[in-house]
Amino acid sequence: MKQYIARRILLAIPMLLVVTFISFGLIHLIPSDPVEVALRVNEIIPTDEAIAIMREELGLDQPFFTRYASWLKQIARFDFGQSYINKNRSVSGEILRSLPATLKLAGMSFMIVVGVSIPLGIICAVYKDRLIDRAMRIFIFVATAVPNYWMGILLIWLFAVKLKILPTGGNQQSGAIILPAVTLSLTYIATYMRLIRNSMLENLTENYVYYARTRGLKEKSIIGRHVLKNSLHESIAALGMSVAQLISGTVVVENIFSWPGIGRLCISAIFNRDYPVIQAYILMMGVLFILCNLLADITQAMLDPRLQEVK
Amino acid sequence: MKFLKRKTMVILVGLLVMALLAGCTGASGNTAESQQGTGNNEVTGGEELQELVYVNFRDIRDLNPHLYSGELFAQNLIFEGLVMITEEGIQPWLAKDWHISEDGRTYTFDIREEVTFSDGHPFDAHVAYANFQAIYDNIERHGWLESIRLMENFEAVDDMTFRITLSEPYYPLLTELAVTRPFRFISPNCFIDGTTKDGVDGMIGTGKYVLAENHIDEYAVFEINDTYWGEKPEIQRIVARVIPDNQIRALALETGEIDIIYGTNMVDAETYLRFEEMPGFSGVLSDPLATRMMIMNSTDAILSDRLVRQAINAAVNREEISEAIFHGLEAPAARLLAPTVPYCDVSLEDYTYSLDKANELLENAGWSMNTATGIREKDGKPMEVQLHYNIDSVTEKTISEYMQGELKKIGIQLSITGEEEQSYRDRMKAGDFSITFNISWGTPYDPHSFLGGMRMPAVYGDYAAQQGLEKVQELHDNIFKAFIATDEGDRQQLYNEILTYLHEEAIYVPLTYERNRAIFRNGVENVTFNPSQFEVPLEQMRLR
Repeated sequence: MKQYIARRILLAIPMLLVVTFISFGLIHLIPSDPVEVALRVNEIIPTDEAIAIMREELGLDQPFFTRYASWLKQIARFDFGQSYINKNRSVSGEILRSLPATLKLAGMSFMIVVGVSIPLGIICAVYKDRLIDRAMRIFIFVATAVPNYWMGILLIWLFAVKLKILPTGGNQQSGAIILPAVTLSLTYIATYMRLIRNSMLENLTENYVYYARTRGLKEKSIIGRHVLKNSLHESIAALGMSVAQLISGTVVVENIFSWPGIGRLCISAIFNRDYPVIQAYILMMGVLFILCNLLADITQAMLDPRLQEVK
Repeated sequence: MKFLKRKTMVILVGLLVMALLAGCTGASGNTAESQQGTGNNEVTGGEELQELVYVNFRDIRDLNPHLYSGELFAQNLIFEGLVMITEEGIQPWLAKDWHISEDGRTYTFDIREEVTFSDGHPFDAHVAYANFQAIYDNIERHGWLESIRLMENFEAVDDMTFRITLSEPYYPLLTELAVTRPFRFISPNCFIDGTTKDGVDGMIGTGKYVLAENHIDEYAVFEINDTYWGEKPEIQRIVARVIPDNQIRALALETGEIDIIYGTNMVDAETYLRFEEMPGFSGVLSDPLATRMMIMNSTDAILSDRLVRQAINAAVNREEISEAIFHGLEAPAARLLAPTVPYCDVSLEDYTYSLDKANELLENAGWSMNTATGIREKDGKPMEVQLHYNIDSVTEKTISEYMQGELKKIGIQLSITGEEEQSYRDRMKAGDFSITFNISWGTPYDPHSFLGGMRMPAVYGDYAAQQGLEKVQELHDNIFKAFIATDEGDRQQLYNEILTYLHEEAIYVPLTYERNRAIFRNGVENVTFNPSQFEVPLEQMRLR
């Protein structure tokens, strides 16, 4: 097992390097000159003098690989440089400032996803093809098809404008987290509910279930103690990955609900062409996915030792 | 098997605990960053606090008044300048009076007594000097300001007298001193290493409000400056919330979470019209501010012919654009700068919509109609012109599509290409376009900053687009002469020549005059517009 984990971690290193290279290089593929962008976002007219000064200030007069190497050294110390927009703010400071709000939102959504999709998945499997299962199928269809953006606006319109029971957004009033967390979790609830339902249905046809029934075990105990546990094995890795997806998926939701998290930081960085922030965001998300993937692989390998033997 | 099951449960519980922890960490995480707290504001108990909730699409960012990265509305609440622009022209502010020498090169300001910054630091001529020096330290950043380039010297003559000497007379100096940045004053206690070039340590001004709190990306709180030297505003507290999405801003106004949405880029025409009709809400529109226009490149093979440019100007139905695209919120613009703009009430024959005239001009220019294709031709070449627009701008896209249909009527094939904003601007600056969009600088920068910008290469598209004009050098010389003219009559004469030449050469296609707008709940009173379009006169508003 240790060997497997060590191998997986070693394999992740080149992946991490690729991610750093992509996040550094992507910015340089953009047709606009970052120097001019840095000037323009501060509403400074890019005259030749201003361009020359800014180029030197940002170190963009150095060759690409020199800059990449020094950037790698920097990010190893969690130093992503200064924001173009506000030189008094460091990019890592900006990330640390906005990360808690995103974690709070993603955490809340994760709890909603787990708390809703597991019971509903079970109910749908148990009452397969009955009214509740069919209703849930429609729900899955709608929740997957309607984009977050649209769903968010619909929820605001209903709960904030018409019913006046929740605020339109922000992070100041109590209950402000409810609408963004629900919006964010809807798509995942639909996905995991379907996953758990199908996994349960598959398990229900296994021999051990017939055996349990013939032993005269109660249906409740068969489903609760045996089928559910076995079905969850398969969903855990997917649920683990959803943590990364939830954090990266906050971009749209945070903007609709004026939620001061990392998604907002990313969008305003994109609008303002704040390249260092965009770079840091791409890198962070890349690393997050690699780590979650790694954890999911290790978890699965622990659950199913056969996977450890696959070279 | 039993082992595995136990492990599964451990992992499942672990995941849940992680999620819970994440939730809790977030809940206790403090995202606030108090940039500055003056502590000089305590609202007395018992009296109801007058609080206005304003909304902006982004954070107030860095409010250093000598740089350009902060939100203007916020800088304007905190920092004051020597003079201010009002409907009645330039008025005293931190300078109670001023004298201009006969040669127009020396401006002497009498500084107002007993003005202090909100941290208690007195304001005098030495502080004015230190601020000007800090601005000057960063001279490269102020390339757009003619006054900074012409500033030969500035000095504190005595404690209460500040003098600026220019290398040439420059009449728009007072306007440039009055606009929100960069000539506003920040307490010397906020300077870092004696300057503001590399940032400031606090946001302390002499203004009516102080920045009490800033929760980045969430909201900022401005409280009344208890030590303010002049008449205090009625509203004691202004909360500036950040709501990035257009539609959500409107919904928040509807629910009463915010009191007012102010600014053209904050309210689209449809939302404005909806709230204007909605019970409990009102809307107001400003006078025309800036001209929305298209610019034609005089170095382009087809557009280098003045007759063609005049024909295109005659083929634009400005009334229809105003009504159909702007729902009447922007007035049709029949000339480059509205006659209400200073020095622009020039006798010109307005561009009028006439397809007959357009066709006649094109015939005269040698472009004859190919009836088979419906496109005009000259020397066997079809009349095909390219229009570039900013793909992020719905308005520009709509106008482009409209123009495509309109020009087809006179036999011009207009191909339209939308580009991402930065590439679009790069193209403009490089002069790599045939037709593109443009907007004048707006009040109070028009006409001088708009015309001044035409003289500077690599700034906007104007310089590049004008290079095909026969008298381009004379035009640019005249613009500078108008700036340094000391005689009002001479200056007007120069502006007449400049505007007439640009009108006749027809390289600009004026479309509409943009107006500022605001929607608010009915309890908010005295919602007005400053002559400077980027300011929001929050301090003049009242609550009922």
